[in-house]
Amino acid sequence: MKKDLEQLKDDFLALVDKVTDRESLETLRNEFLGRKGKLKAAMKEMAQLADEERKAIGKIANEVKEAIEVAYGGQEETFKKLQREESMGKEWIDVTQPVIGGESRGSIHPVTQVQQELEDLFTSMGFIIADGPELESDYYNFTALNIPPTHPARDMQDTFYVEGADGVVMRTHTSSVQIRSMRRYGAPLRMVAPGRCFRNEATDVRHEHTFHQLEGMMIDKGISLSHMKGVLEIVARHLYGEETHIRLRPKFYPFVEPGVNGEVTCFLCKGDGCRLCKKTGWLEVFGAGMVHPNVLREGGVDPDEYSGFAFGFGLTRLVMLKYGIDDIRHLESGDLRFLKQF
Amino acid sequence: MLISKKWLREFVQTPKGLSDQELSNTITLSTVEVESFKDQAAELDKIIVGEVKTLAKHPDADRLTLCQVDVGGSTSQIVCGGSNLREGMKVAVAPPGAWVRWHGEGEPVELKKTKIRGEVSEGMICASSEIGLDASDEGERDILDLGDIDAKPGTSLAEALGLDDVIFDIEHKSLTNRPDLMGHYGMAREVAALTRSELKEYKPAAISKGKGVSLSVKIEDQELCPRYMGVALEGITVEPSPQWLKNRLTACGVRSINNVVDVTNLVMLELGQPMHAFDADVLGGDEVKITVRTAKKGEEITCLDEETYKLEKEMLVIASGTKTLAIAGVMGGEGSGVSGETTRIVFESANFSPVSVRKTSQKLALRSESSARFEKSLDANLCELALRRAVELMQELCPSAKVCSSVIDERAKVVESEALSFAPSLVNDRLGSSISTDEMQDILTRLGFDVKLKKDVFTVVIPSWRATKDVSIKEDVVEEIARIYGYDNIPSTLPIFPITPPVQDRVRQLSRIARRALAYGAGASEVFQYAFVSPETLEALGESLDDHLKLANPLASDRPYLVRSLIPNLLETVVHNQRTFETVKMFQSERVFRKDEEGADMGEGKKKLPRQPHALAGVYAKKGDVDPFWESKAMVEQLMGAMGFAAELRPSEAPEPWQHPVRQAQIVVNDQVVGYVAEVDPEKASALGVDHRVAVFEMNLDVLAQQGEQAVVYKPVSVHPAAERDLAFVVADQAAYAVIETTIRKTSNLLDSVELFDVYRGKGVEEGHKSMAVHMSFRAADRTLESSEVDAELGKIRGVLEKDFGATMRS
Repeated sequence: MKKDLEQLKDDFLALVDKVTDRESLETLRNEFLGRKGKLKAAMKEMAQLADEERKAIGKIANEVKEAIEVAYGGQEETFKKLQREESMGKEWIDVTQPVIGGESRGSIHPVTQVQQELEDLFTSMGFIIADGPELESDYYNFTALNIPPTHPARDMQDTFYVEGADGVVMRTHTSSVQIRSMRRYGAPLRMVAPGRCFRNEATDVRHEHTFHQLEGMMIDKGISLSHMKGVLEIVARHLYGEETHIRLRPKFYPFVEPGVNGEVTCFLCKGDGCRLCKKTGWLEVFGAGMVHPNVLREGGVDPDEYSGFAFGFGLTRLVMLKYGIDDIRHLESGDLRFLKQF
Repeated sequence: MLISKKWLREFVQTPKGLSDQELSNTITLSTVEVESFKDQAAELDKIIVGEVKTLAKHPDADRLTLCQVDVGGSTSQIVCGGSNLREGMKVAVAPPGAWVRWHGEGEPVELKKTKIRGEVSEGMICASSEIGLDASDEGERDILDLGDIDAKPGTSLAEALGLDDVIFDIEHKSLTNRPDLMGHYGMAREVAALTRSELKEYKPAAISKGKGVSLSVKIEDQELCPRYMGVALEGITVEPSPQWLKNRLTACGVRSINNVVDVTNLVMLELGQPMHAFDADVLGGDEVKITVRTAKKGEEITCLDEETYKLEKEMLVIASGTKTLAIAGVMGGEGSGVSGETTRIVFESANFSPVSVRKTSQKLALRSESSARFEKSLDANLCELALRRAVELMQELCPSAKVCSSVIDERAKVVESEALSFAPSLVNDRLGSSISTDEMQDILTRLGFDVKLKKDVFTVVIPSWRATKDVSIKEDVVEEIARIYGYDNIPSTLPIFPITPPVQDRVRQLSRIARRALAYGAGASEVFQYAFVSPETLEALGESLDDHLKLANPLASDRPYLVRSLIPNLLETVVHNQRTFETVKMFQSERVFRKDEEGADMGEGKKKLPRQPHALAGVYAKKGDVDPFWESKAMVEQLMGAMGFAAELRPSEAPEPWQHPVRQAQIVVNDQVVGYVAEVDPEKASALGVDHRVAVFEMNLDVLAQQGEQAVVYKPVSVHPAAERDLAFVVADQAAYAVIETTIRKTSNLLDSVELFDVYRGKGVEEGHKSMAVHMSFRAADRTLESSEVDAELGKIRGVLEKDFGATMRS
């Protein structure tokens, strides 16, 4: 009897490994463990045994049943896994395929991007972002900036005028916001004014009649050229990295005294000299200076009490340098082939 | 402006070992930008003088000649195509190893010994343009004829031509405030100060007066002409200038004319003082009466450039009797200048008002070397130095020349410029530096300022050549010290400010949010476009030109108008992009210009500038999309959501002329119209060249910025479930959903939300009608709704829809 039971177990274990599908596995299980199965049949015989022996055989029968169940369970698990693999495999999709009909990303103009980056830098230092009209009065654009009508400095900036509007010009620089800001906010003052400017120049690869600048101004008691260097160094390092230095050299602007041109270490060659910086190691990116007392006065600020500096960055130039844009005309072209790259 | 090193060194000996590059840097960092410098000898490196011994035809080429050329000690065979070759001719030879520009074009190339059509050629006989010399006198196939040059074959050409100079190119525009640097002596003075070198005194001999011509000058307006000096010379032979003088002028980019004119030009390049020479016999011979006066009405003059100019009454002229001789300070007249027959001349050395010269030259559109200098305010003291130098030079070039009049010097009363007084501490306060008083004093003294320090106050007298305009206030003196001390030597420090949050600009903030929402949410690209628009575009859209501001001097005469809306140019940009992109989706945030509305102040006076609101506009067109309105509206909704506004659309009673009459709406926020969204009238769009249906939106950010944002009203989240119902009904096509929804909402206060999920026209729906399906959700805050309650609400809604909109229920 015991031997029969052991045999039953061995038979199942031998058969279960040969089963190839779930259905046959179930049939096999029923064959052994089902109500009319082999184990049940063997158990029936058990009834005729003596108590003592029946107990012993019963234990063995239970062990055999358990072993069969474990073997069945193991095989069942294998089949479940296979089945899942098969059905999941059928759900394969090409994850590299683009979302058809999905919205493609648009773009923000590179000048806007660079401008906003600088705005954020300056607001983090407590600067106001000021604004002013593009169609500006001759007064704010020139006269109040120490450029009277007969001044040869007016030749430096060819100007657009408007029919039937006396004393109105398309602003030639964002410096026109200087006086407006001083009058509006008074001193002390920290402001930057980014914006669009216009000069009546023929357009080519390097010249555009419409371009962008970022003006800045700081006024307080005791502001010095040394402070100007400090602040502009921060800007230069923000733009071109920690190793960047600035170099100032004299340049005449009627609204500052002293007036300087500002250069930064060429970011391409790190100052060694290359094609971009025309072998000088320096890139000219801003104009600056200590605000001329006449300008402070026009702004309603007492030059004996306050001093300040002003600076102007060519935003358009910064953008062209940053991305290596070869033709300035792309910027105002509205050409999506250009714009979608940013 | 070109500065010759040789010339400079006549006045200042720069320190030994100072290279041209270093000098260039020093000037750039302390005075004015030196754009470049050019070493003439280096450009002519290895080029030598050769003498053509014999010529023979090239056996295998009609236009080539075999030349045997003496190149100093040996003879070289050179194949040459020059059409002016002759035996005995002195020529410029580039031997193998020299660099030339083929036919004067492109980058220089190195010459090698070669064979040309089978014949050996050891180098090249050069044309002027091939070695960077002035080629204006040479024919197209000519080579440079050195004529009777006194140089042996083999001599370096640079040496033979006296071209051993270095030419510095100074950035011209930067000299606006430094008229004193517009001549070699002034530049030498600056270099002396920069390099602590000694400056040679400039003192041409005084002129002793002569007899023969009675010369007189009358200045009618001394404000316009503060000084006029003149003197007559006789015994003049007008002839070409000697080579050294020609070289000097050529080096500075000025053409040699004849000895007399060249003298005036040389003096101008040396001192910065423009001069003029008249033929004394044209002016009256023995008696010359010069008047400096303003022009008469209708007065005309033909100038040296052979153009005739109509003068206006405030323009200053030089006249003699009835003859107009010159436009003062701008250009001389044709008939009164020096000619081949001239034997007696009058030199003019005068000072004219910068404003007057500038206005005149601007109005006449006539610029000259002379006007460029006068308009920058010249030192009147230069007149005398220049006149002396001119006479001295004239007599040197033409030994028979003799002064034959007294020296005339008419001038306004000289106003001495006041000395400036300030504490030396001002300098360090402004610069944030710690420059010692001694150093300040030293710098200023080197620059020619007279400085006295007394009781801690500087008294600074400005030298006359700096006092005309450039230096007049103490800040100007600070700059002088700063630039010579060196900006590099001033430390960088950061100012200290109290913490104050900066004032925010709401328009700018909105525009920033909008850009992100449109670019990264709606997939549109930001474009920049000109503020200028063409009349054709405006007219195609049915806009009135009169509503637009117009440039008085447009660059492109096809775009003279200022935009009052961003849409016209955006539509043009669609046309440019539609060939490349099937979907064009763009936006722009920029100011527009309103002719008829008042905007910001003008700083002085009561008038206002035209208003220039900040606009935000977008455009959408897609091949095959015949209802682009929806996408445009979606952009607006996305935008409004991002900016935090609750907006509604209302069809406008008076749409813009270019808008589709029934596919347009105003964008309304808090009952205030802030913009519009519309399809462009297809006829107008196609008149502009747009291939597809196109829709746009535009908003006024200035108005929008004044609107309150949509406030968030929190309601507790209900714990009771909602009952969902769908309702489908048919209404007339024209029934506006916004009105239907408002009505539905008003009808039931148990309604939690209502959402349109389908609109259908076509089979099964009567013509002129549409079927709409809404999904509604009912909810009570305090209980779970009974089915019967919900059905009752639905019944009410059905009733109202039937009554108010004639709706037929489909479910």
